[in-house]
Amino acid sequence: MATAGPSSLSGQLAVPAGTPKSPRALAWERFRRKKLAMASLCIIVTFYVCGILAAVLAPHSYREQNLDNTEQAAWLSQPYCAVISMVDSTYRPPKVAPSTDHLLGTDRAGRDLLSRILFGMRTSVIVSLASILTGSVFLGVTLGALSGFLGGKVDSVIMRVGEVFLAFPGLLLVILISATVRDRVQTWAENFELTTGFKGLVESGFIDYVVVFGAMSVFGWVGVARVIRGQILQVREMDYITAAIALGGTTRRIILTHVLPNTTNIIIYMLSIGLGAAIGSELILSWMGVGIKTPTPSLGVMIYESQGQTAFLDQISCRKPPLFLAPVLLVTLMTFAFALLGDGLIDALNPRSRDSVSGAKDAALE
Amino acid sequence: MVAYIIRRLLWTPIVLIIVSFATFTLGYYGPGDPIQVLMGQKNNPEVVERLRKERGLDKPFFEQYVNYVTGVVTRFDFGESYKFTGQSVGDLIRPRIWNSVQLNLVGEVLGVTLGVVLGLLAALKQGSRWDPSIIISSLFFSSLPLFILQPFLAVIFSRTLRLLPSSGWEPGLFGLQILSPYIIMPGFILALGPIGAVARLMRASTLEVVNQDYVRTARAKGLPENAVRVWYIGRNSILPIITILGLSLASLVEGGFIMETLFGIPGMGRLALDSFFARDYPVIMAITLIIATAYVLANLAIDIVYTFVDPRIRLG
Repeated sequence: MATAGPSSLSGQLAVPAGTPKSPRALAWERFRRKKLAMASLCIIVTFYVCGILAAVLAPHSYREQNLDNTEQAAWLSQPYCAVISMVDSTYRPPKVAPSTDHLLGTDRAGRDLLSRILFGMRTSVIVSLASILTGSVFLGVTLGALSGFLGGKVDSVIMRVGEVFLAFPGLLLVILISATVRDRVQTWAENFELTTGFKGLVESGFIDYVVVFGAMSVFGWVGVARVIRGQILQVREMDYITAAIALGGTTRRIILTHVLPNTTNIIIYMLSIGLGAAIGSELILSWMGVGIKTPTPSLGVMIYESQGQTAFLDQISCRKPPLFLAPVLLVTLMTFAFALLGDGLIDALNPRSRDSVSGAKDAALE
Repeated sequence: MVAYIIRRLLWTPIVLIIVSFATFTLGYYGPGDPIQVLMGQKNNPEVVERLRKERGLDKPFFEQYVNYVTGVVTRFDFGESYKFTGQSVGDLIRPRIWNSVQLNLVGEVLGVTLGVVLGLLAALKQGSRWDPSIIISSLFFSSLPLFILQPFLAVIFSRTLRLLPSSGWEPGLFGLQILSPYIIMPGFILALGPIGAVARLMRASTLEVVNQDYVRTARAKGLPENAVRVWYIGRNSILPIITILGLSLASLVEGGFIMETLFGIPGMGRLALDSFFARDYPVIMAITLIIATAYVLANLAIDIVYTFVDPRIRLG
């Protein structure tokens, strides 16, 4: 009881035989040993690859309707339905029998569900990558680093501005921005298309992406900036920095070779957390009808359109194609995978963190 | 300490002025003319002009803003809703804030308590199979997207077992909604959110406390193991949870608009959504200001509480 921690200590004290390994290689080794975190990483990578390659992988178009073939049963759920039909005496199969042409069946307008899910994944991928790269990571790391390095006035100005941004009710403001700014951007883009003859900007749902991830970035940077700043302040006080100064290293060299490499771990961690959070926000926003608008497919919109108790019951008893269940399962799998990945990353990158409050607090405050 | 609090309190109005100015600007330059919305498609231009004058909407931007701020500061008057004609924003918000506070209180208290207990258990079972399975399952529940749980629970508890109402909001015992069956399902779903983070933090914090000298002393004195766990380990490891609790204080008034939408609860979140979609700017302004105030004050409260709980912390 009182001897808590021998198992975690031994892992950390184990000295690798032979050639010494870099901290990064050690972290990767620790990470690889975590089966759940590795599985999550694979799931997430698959999700992103499928999302990026949606146009190639999807067997059909996401908007092509076929009113002769609505609510076709899912081919993939046939084994499950066979079990249901044995258990449930009142079982009636869906009107349209499954075919390999539509693996997950079709929706009320006869659109292929699998293709819509793939394109919905593409939306999630685009929004999460764009909002992370523009907002949290770029703005957050730059401002956090400036704050930490320069200190003094710059530091207090950036941190005060951040405090103001945190005081805003973020998600609601994103709604307000998309509700007010979106129409303007849309009109502007339509005029742009008219005058230049450039086509497809409005039709592709590009406007929705720009407005939604733009608004999400504006409120996403503060958390990252705070963590990066804290990390840099900590690194600045380290003995090896003092040593580098004593040895006559230039400020530029110290920053590039001593300070920045020691913050990459936390950046990697923030990246994984941020991607998960961005996917979640996009889902919620689209679910509420402010994010991505139809016909651009989004998992949030698909869940919103097909939710409800009766729909849920029909799908679980295999009377209808899994219009609600399929996106829901995918979304749950994704968010859980991101949570496990973050958990595994923080342990692997900073082995002491699992049993330290500051590491867990960083994770908790996200 | 006193100087610090005064400095922080002086900073609060500055934050609020910036927040209100930004929201006001969005409202002023955003599309949608409140008077046109009010009058509908067929309207009389004269009436439109008169209404505009009556509400001071014909004045220049800065004058409108200053008028609004003086109204709020001197008379606590947030203006009149555009959407619900004739209703003052204060009357709209007051009952809804109370509903939201009740709902979020249930969710938060339940979630944090469960998280603390699970985290404590995981830490005390460190090294056994229980530790990772507790943490992983709490992470799983926290990572479920909130809005997909409603149909699952409604089918189980309302349709099949017929135990709980599937949606709605009625007063229960003593006229309090917090004591009615309507709060159970949304409150439970809300509680899932903080469990993962709290459990993880509590576990880490407990592991730090377990090996302290005073815990060994307590055991050496011959105190029963349960007393040591609750009063020595539990009490000291709960400190970091305060930060999370403090930040969620602000969310009490914010209202979970997802739960409120799904379960038809007339709270702040629902009102916020409706007014954001209807571009009911006086209501939007008031809600944003209330949430911002709550956030700033909650942050201040965390700092102050910290100094009481842990006298080693000095504010400067």
